[in-house]
Amino acid sequence: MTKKNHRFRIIFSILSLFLFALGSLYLMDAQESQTSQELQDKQKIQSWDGSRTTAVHLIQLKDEFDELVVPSESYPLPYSTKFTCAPCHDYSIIRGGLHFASPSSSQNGRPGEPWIWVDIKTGTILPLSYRDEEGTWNPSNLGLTAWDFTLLFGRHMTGGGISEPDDEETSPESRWGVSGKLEINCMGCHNASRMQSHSEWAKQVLRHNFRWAAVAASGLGEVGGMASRLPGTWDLYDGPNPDDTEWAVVPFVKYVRERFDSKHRVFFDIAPGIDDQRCLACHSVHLVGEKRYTAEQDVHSAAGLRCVDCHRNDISHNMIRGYEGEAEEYQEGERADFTCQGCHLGDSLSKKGGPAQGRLGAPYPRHSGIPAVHFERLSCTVCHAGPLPLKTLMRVRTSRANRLGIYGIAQWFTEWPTIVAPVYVRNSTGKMSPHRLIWPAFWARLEGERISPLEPPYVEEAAGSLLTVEQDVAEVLKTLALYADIQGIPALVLSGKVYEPNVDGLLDVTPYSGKRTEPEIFWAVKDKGGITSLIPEFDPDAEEPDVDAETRIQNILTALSRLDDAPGMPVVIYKKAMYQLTEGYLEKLESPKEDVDTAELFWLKEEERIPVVSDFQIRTIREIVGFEQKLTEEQVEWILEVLSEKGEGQNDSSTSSPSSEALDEEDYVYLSGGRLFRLDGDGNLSAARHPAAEPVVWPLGHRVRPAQQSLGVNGCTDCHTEGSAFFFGKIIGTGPLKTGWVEERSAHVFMDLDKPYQKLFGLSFRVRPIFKVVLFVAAAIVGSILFLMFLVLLGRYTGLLERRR
Amino acid sequence: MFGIVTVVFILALLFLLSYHRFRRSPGSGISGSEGFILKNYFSWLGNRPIALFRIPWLERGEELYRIRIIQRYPPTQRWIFICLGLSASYLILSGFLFALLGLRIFGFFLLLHVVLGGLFAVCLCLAVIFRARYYVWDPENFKGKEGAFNLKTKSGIRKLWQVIFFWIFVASGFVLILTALSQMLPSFSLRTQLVLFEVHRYAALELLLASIAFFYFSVVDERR
Repeated sequence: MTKKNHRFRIIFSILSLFLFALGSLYLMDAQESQTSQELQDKQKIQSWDGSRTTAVHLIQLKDEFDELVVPSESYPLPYSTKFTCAPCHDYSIIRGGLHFASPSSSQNGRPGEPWIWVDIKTGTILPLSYRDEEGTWNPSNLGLTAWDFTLLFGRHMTGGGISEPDDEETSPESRWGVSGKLEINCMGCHNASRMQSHSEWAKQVLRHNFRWAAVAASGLGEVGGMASRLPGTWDLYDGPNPDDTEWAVVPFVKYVRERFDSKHRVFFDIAPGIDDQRCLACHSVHLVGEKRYTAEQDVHSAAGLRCVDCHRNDISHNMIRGYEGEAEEYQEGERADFTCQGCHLGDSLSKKGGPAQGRLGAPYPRHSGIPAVHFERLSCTVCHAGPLPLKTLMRVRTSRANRLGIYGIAQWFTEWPTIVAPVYVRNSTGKMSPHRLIWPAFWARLEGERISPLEPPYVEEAAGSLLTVEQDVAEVLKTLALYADIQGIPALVLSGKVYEPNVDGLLDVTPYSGKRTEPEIFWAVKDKGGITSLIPEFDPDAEEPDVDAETRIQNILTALSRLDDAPGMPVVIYKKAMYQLTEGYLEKLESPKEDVDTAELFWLKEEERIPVVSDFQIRTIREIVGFEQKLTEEQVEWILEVLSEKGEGQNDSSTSSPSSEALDEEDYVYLSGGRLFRLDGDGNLSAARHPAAEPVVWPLGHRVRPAQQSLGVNGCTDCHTEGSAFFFGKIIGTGPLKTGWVEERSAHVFMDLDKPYQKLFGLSFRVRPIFKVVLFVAAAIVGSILFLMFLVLLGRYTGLLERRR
Repeated sequence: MFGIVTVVFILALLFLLSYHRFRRSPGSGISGSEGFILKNYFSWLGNRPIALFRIPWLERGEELYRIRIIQRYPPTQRWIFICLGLSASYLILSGFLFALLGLRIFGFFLLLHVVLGGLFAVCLCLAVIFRARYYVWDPENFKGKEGAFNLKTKSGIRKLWQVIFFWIFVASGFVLILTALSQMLPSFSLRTQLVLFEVHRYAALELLLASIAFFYFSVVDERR
């Protein structure tokens, strides 16, 4: 090869490399441009042309297969928001919004109200959140799948997010194939029609009719059937089952045909701005005890503002929440415009550029007489939002926690969990703001310092009848009522109270107004005449048997023998006689007990007499029936023992058992009212503090009170006194367990303030009026002397005043 | 901003007073050029810390207390001036310490500041009542009687400065009391309160400067 050729090859190689690099760069740029072009195209779809009107939504419906919904078809599918709304509104962008994206989002802003798993039977109040908020538990870590979560909370969910998992995320026990996925329910917020029913949504979710829920709730169609009753193998392609029109009816929708035009288009009543009723379906808060007609609106609502006037969003649906520091967190300056300060104060308090005040006519507050330090240490909501602080906190109910806003014959709302407010806590900006608070309650496994909550079904299964005391006693009374041919309601009289069964399968309690004082416990019948003994008084040894009494006894025994899980044969012991059923006939035997004045009911099992209502059951119903708490210390003791035994049994049988050291450290505990309960070495219940028992708090922003009802309107002493409710209000631990071992804290602890100083500072306000008078007099005297001095100087200069000798 | 202004003004006053003291001390080179005088001044200033260490402060303090308090004031009035001095000292110390650190006064410091503020107000009021007559400046009275002053003499000039700084002290105190009282009343908006707060701070600075100057001309310069 000549030198010339060699040089040529080198040049050619370099040139080729250069061209290759150039080509690659061009292709990358083209791809970026393409991506950028796609984005631009998307944005074109979402972009606003500037008109202040709302488009008329006369549109065709599409199902989940992107097929046109024709209401006259024999089995039309429910419409899918993903495909119906999607051509104009990018579903994939909306999915990332605040209401939908919790599990996957990396930015969720300040903590909000957690989802609370309430199972009062097991005494469980467990705060859950996918947002990694303090004090809450991630549902995934507890073994809750997306399916489980949707069933628990879908009643107050918007659809989308966790309830619309990708196919890869579905778990074996889920039934997404049967129920469909719970898509984002656009109409749940955007429907201006009064036909939009949150109750219908909840009902359909409860029935597992996920893909049908939106159409039912919007009123576009009538939905029947229950996906929950269908076999797990059912598929949408299987269609309806003509053989079963009573029980496992395949969900169906009958569209309201009058709402469709000839082109199968339906009118969606989309208002320019969402009605508050849509928001309040999930975001209502109610002060317990407050009557509906006296309940006040938020002052902004009363002034004509809607929720969405402040809580705005673009197509991304990342709603503005309006708290201080949000703009910095999200790196979106315009969010600061919609804080309290942003609208009411503008940038007047700050030297930096910012929004001007007065947005939407917000009045400018003079805040006369309030030292500036308050605005550095307190957020606006301390004085202006939520309940006023009292000596004890106020109880509130929220839609999502207490299941409010679902109407029907059955009562949906629950008293638990107990949420209290206001509790003042420092937020991320260092300012104090009012919060709501709950005390968690749950069963858990304690391994060293690590706590793992137990799911309620696990606890229920392990505890068995220990958790069904009230139900078991009610079952006995109900059985007697149904089958014992008794005119009246069978009841149990216990320590001056009458316990009778109710329609919920539990017991109602009323005071005993009869004259009978002995014995303390007896079976009775409640009728118009009052309370009488279940078995009337008679002499079993009389020559002539009392037919009525014996008939009553026979009916009672016959009824009791119908009970499932009866441990033996029912017998009645009265005086010196014992009555039992033998081959369907009443047989009288000699009583093995001493003379008994009141009829007693027993189960006879191999010569052993077991009371129909045991001492444990009596102690338990005496403590919990008619009270809010549903667990006794004795129950907790027993259940912890049972759980320990079950846990040991599982460990023994496990092939991959943990080390013996870990086994020794494992313990079962119950948390309630701010305390952790466990069995000590003697098997007795003991209580201690534990971080997992700490209360969970989340900030509140509403209800905003008018200025005349703000904290401080009566002067400094609204907060600054030695016994101030603001600083020293009591926060007492609450929970399903009835116990004296509850946490008790003063409000100042949550504020991280020093008690002696606040007491002293509050005390100083008693003498403050005198102090002001003293200052005023001192200033007057000094000022007068200064003025006099000025006049003397002037006089001397002008010669009008003679000098002193 | 306030911190910077405070430091600048205090340093400026200390410079002026120390320069005044230097010019009054022997061997300050009054007849020399400005540069020579300044050079001497800095040399003199450099020796001051050593000189300060040699001063028997305890004895000096006792002497000061005996002459300025015990001998000058009757027993009923002594406590007024002791309390005035102590309360003013704490108020200045607590107020400026937090301000220079960029913090807002808080906790027990704040409580004590407010309480002693009231004491200061009362003591100032009584002090002015009892002592105002000795600080009336008569432009025509330059005779050398007790209580009068002659501007042609050094003592006369000293007394003039005493009068000036006394009344600046009193006026600053008045503004401090007034602004403190105003912020406790429910009459002023937040904006106004912020202004009042700034006025309070600058009045405090004025009071501090006036008290340093007054002390200098009443005690330090007079001793010489």
